[in-house]
Amino acid sequence: MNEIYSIRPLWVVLISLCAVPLIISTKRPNLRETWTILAGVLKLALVLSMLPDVLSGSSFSFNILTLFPGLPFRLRVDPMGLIFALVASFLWIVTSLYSIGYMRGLKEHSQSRYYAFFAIALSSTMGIAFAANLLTLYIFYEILSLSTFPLVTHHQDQEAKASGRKYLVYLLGTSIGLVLPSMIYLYMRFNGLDFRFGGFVPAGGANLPLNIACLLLVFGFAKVAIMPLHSWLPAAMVAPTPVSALLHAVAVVKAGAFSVVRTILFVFGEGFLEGSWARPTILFFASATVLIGSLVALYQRELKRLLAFSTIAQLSYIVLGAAMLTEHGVKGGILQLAMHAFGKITLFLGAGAIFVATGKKLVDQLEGLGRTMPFTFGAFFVGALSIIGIPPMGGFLAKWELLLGSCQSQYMGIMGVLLASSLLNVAYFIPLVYRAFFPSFPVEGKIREAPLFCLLPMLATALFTILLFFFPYPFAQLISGLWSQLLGG
Amino acid sequence: MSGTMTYHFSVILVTFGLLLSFITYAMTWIKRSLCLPFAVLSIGFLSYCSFSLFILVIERGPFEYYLGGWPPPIGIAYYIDELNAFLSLLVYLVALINLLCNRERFLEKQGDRIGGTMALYILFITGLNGILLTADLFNLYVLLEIASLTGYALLAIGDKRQAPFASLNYVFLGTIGACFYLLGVGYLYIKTGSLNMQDVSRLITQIPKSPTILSGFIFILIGIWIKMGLFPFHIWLPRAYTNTFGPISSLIAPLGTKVMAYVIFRVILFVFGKEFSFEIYSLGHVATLFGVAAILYGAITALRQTDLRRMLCFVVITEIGYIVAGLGVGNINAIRGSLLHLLNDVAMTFCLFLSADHLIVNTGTKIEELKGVFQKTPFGSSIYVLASLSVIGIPPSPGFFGKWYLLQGSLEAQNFWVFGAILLSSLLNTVLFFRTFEEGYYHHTESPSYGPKKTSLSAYGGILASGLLVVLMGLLAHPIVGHIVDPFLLRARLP
Repeated sequence: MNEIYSIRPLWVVLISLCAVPLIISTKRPNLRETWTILAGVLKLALVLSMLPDVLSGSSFSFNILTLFPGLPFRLRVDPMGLIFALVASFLWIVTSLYSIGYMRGLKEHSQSRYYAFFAIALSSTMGIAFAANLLTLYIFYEILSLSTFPLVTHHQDQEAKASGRKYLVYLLGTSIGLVLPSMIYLYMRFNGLDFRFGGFVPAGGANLPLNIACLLLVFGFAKVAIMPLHSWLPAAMVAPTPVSALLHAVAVVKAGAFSVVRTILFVFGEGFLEGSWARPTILFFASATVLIGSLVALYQRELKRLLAFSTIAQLSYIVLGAAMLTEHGVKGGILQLAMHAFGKITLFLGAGAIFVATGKKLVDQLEGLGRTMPFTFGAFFVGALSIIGIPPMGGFLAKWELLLGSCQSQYMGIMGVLLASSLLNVAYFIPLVYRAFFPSFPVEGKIREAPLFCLLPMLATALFTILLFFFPYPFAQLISGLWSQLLGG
Repeated sequence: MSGTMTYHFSVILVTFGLLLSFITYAMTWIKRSLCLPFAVLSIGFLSYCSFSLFILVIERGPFEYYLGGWPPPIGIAYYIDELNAFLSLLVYLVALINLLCNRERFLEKQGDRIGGTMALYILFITGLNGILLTADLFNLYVLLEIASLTGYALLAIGDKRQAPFASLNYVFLGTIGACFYLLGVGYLYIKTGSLNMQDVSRLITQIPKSPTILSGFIFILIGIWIKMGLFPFHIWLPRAYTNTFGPISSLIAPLGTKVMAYVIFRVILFVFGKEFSFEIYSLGHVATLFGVAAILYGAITALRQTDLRRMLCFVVITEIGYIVAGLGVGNINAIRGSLLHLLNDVAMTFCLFLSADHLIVNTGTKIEELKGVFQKTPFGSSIYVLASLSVIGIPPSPGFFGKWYLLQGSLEAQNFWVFGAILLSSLLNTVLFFRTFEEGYYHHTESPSYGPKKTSLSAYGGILASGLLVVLMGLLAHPIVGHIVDPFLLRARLP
């Protein structure tokens, strides 16, 4: 495995940051949005340009600064980071196109600010994906929390204020209160925080402070919304829908999940976790989150809140997968990171399209809308099937691997959790879609679809959800590469 | 300029500082409008000297400068090392940026007394600079009085009626502090017969432990603690800094307390020595106690404030607490953190007070009056946010690095009081600052005429420069530790 020293990862991070001054200073909306899209396309192209090398087993790295002795501010592109970067940068373009339709359709205020902070948030997401050590990851993680704050509270009303508070208290409170002390402890003990395949913490899981440090990290990355640190996520749904779609289905929550997977596989590793009590604790809380999240979703009246609780449950799949520490479990967890992103963003874009076209937010109000908005609900259906895990949707592959993984592991109960959760997913998604197409009362009215800018991105992500089932490369390739490196390390 | 000339800058900084301040005042006799430009030029010149001195020290290492060629213990010596040269450079930079940024406001407020004001301004930073560079305990006292007396006069300038009274309050306490320091120096002189820091530190190890030396130690410590505003000796600080004229608060708040904090390190590590202070007089416990108390008191009391600048004063008290708590922990990483935080805090507090002052000018002094200020003056607000985040300790801002070393040090020493207090105060500071952000942010109006008060380009430039200073201190944290803080610690024989 060879390392390529290249500035390219830094450019991936910086490219959307470079677009920020252009976005702010441009007066004309068309030009402003062109900058956003251009930055997005360039970013994706740069990420893609690294794909062949990474597939063949190399990795890119770049040192930016030295922060502390033995602790550089360093970027490193490995298969796992590349998966996350690919998903996030691709979906950013989709969401940007969608934002144009959505924000203009609703005549939102402060659109320049919106696009600017979106770009900053994407930069930090890339930074998280490519972080080579825990501190670098932490830095970008904090920037992501802060840069998404103005997006979540975009409406600047009382509701946004309350949600914004919750968002920050949870995310900054946990990162300063839990992650920081744990990180300092690990640094003090091991004189470095570089991610290493199989973890840099030595084997032997009985050590009490290390177990606590592990739990502090896993719960401290509260963006993954493991219960009881989840309630910021439904609150954050007050944001404009494109924000919810990209950030709360992809960038922010996946950044949390990604950080947790990094912690489990690259900080602590199998050797340590095997015998530790931190691992059963993580598995227990994640399983509980899967079940409770799905159950709570059943009772939601607001569509976006339903999706939020569904997200909470689905995120813990990733944690479960990684914490199983079996081949298929890890593969499934990381696959879930990508697949869930496509499925969930489709659902969120659908919810937004419904809101733009009809102004409706509640689940009950959707009855019969499938007749008037067939494309929107068609895409919505595809997304729902993917989340449930029915072939031929991408989500199925992730679920399949996860189930296989649970068979391999000593925790067979996880299989029950996964299956029960799938049934619950059916219970909250299928009646919703069914009633939209087959209302209990006759519906009059002509077809009035969402604006084209909203519709096309949604159809694109729906299409990708299906395509990913048939062509899971490069994700599958990257994941096998990752697994072989994990074994090698 | 030749290398030998640069050595003389050590004393030129002080003597020319005094001289230039009087010339600045004399300018009023010629033409009053010349005073301010001349003051800017003077501080610019002094900044240049300070910068050359810093470069010299970095290149050739620390050196002693004998005034008039008289070696100590008879003559007065100045001792220049990386740390105080850098701090001195920061002092001049802050003073220069602050003056350029607030040029119009000084003219508007002090137009007819601009000569005197500028003279005091230069005298004040000259005093601070002398405190930093001197290696003589009595000379330090003299310069301390120069800085204090000019500080009182400057703080008495204010928009509010309370300013002179608050300043008087400070005069009383500050004089007590200075007297305590002088008394302490007197005790040391009785025992050692010397005033030169190095000489005293050599002699002190040779004489047996005595109550006289202990009294000297305590008097000096308490005297400086009063001057640096450490809880519970802080009572003069919020009142004096809140009621004064904005541009004065952004000069004195970042500099005054930090320079005194530096004196603590100088005196403890280079006069009394680590062994003496920590092992014989168990400074560690005392400083930890005061530091933790200051951190918690500052962080909690700040939450109760309704006035923006007063709130920031309590933030300053918290920061002073960090520095003293790190000293109390006493291992290398904690003291490294303390010193780094001291340096960073100059930049952070300056940026914070400067940008907050800009917000206050645009709205009002109360936090609730900040409504809509983010929309009103987005630029000033973003710099304010930057400084606040740095105080909270969001990486990669400078505040983060200081806290990291402090946390690491306290964890290594298993001093969980300091560890917990720092974490808790960071969280409380988050609440504190986001409360002000909320006021500024959640108020939106569509009216297009909603903009900042007329602000000159130089004012914006100054605010931007202070923001850049914060960013730079953050990005350069590692070199600063490696080239400025660590050599200091090495000479203090901290492993």
